[in-house]
Amino acid sequence: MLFSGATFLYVFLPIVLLLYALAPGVKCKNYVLLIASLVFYFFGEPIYVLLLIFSSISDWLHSIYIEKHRGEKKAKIALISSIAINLAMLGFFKYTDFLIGTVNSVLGASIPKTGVPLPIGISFFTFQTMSYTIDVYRGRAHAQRDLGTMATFVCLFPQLIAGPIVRYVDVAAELEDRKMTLENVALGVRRFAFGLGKKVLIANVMGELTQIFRDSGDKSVLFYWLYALAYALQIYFDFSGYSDMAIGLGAMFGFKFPENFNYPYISKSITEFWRRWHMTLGGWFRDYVYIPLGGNRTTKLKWLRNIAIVWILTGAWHGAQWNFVLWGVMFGVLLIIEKLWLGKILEKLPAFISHLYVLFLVVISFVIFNAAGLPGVVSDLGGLFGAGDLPLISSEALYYLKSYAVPVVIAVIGATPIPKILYNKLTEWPKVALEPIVTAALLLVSTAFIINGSFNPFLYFRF
Amino acid sequence: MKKLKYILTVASFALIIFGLAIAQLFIPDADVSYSERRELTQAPEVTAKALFNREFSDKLESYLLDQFPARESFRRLNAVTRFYALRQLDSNGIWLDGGTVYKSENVTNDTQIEYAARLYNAVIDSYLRDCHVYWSIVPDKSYFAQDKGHPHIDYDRLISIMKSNVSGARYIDITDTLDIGKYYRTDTHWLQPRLFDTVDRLGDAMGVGEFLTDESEYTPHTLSPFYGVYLGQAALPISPDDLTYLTSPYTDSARVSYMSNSGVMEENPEGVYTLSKFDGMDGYDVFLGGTQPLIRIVNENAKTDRELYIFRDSFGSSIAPLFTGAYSKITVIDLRYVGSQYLSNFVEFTSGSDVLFLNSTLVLNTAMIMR
Repeated sequence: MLFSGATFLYVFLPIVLLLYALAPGVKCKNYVLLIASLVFYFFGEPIYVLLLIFSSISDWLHSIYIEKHRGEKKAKIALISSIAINLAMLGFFKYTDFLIGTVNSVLGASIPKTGVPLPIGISFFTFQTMSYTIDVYRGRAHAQRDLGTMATFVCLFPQLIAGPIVRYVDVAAELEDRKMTLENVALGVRRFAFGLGKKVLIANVMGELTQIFRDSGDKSVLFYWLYALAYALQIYFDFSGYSDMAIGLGAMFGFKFPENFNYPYISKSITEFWRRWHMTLGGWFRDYVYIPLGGNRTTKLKWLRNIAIVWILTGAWHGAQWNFVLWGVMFGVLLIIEKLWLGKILEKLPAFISHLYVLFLVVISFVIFNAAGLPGVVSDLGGLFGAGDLPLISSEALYYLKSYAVPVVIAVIGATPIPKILYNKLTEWPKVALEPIVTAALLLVSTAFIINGSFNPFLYFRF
Repeated sequence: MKKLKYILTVASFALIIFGLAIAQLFIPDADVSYSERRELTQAPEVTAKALFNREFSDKLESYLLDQFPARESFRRLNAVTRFYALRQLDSNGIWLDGGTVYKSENVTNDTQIEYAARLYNAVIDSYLRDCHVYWSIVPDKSYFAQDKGHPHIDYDRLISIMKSNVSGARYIDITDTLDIGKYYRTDTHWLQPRLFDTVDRLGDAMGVGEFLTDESEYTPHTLSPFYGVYLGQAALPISPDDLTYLTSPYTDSARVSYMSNSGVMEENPEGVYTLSKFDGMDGYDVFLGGTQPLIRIVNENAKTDRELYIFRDSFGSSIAPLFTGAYSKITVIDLRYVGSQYLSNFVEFTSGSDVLFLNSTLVLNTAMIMR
């Protein structure tokens, strides 16, 4: 079930909101959310919903055991067991066929692939549950004694399948006590409507353009760059739109989820970009991989090793294909270069040069990200730079440049804080009229696009 | 003031979400969408199997989208936003110029076009060695809007591929007999009352020019409103067309039979024009009953006893009746619905007859739908 689908918007959400509002007390509201979340996941993954239940029970038992034996070796064994189970799930479902394919191509073997489909959102919920048991082990969180509450955290539908990665400590207090206030609901509604608009009116429209490029038989250098720009905008609005919807839904139910994006395309360095892009994933790798490995408080060699490990893992987390690993490695290398010497130079350069540097590399990185494996990377990057006698301009590229000029300009401006700055300059009275009207308009126009279009994928569902 | 803002925001959201959800429950489901010319998805059946193989969730989404309250208005809102707010040049390939709706085809598919030529050759070799064989191409509307900057088929290449691959038949160029004014504004097809130049060109080339029915002998009849296929796809506020068909003593006296599903020819009591189909999914089906694999038009009052075989797509439906005065028997064959290898089971080709392959650029560019 997609947030931007009719089933969610006009069947699931009204029923859940109504039942949630009518449910007395937090415990009862938690059960409403738990059942709703299981139904939500069942609609997309009828069988794998068992995996979600298993994950909840497993980490609930592990965490209680860890807390009971805190400071003892048993706690460490339980932690390792919990992490091993989560990683085994992730490894089996996400990476088995990738490894088989790699072994087959390197050794010329013909080991049959399992063909097991990837459970939606597995990368998100395994990371959330791992952070939970680790935090319990570290004493940063108390083990949740109530299985229902624990399962509500693991299965919570707003952020279940595409983030943001919500840690238990972020919502522990709210799972026990929260209120559905007018302000929270209103802010949640506004955030949800903006997220929906970002997804449906911008990301999907950019997605059409990238699809047109893929289907075109009239490629040119201009078309490749138009595609690269469109894809960079699509993935930002797709993912940040989803995060906005998740945060908005969370607010409607009384939760405060962490922010996941902070205008990443205005960054002046790749280091800054990763402080603004998919912030909950970056934070997760920082706290549960990079720092435990020693972070930067170690020898230079080990520090570089730590960065390399984190970025190879970040790449592989995004997808079980070599182009994702390459994408992660690219950022790892860029971050090392910035930390060693380029960062200081960037600080002294005029801002527009730093922005251009970031945008150029980020756009290139997403071309790698979206390529069909390593051969696709070579082909797409070659296309950007005119390899293979590609014409500079084609009539089709010019046509689509013209046809998508306004959506691209809107997307580019929308990726900056300009609209927010302008809005904040308004006095309160215009906002009283503007907010409800814009919210309603976004909802209605998005609905119109949903009804008319069939192009409605969520890019981050495969992660 | 903030409280008022919050109340209004939540109220507008609730009104839309709950209002449309409730409306969805109470508005009866429609069977078909006439504007899109398709059947609409009906409520899916809840079974354990459908739930577990995700068929139910997929069908439920399709059902909700198809049966959404005020669906046509939402489709229009989408189209208006795209064309007028986002200034997009097309919406799903549909675009407008001077009130005429076009559809872009941005791929010229050489393989498909070559296939069409090979199929023509195979039919000629198998059945038509003793016939006078001609072929022509019906340009789609975008042919006349190549200077508008929208993607279109490379027509020169298409015609060139056909010319260099079709053998054993004579090409008749009809492109200069047509212009955009000879097509419906909202539909893909041409207007029957404006085909006289085209009919003359084809008739002259096939040697029956002198036997064609004169324009003055026809009586026009108008049916309206005619919602062309592009009108529904565009979902824009555009006025529909009128559909005009022509009758003459020859069309009136012609007896028309269609091949039934069992392969038997059955006479259509309505004759050349199936007026009962005007209110169906596609008003253009008035012409020779629409989609039919095989049609036979017999006219004992024709000025000759010659026979004509037309291998055609839907464009042929409206032009074939204009040959009824010149041929005593016209057999209309659509290779999209009857495989060429089975033709001998249903058609006996008479030696010395005229044969015309008349397909549009749109069909030639996707020719593998013919068999």
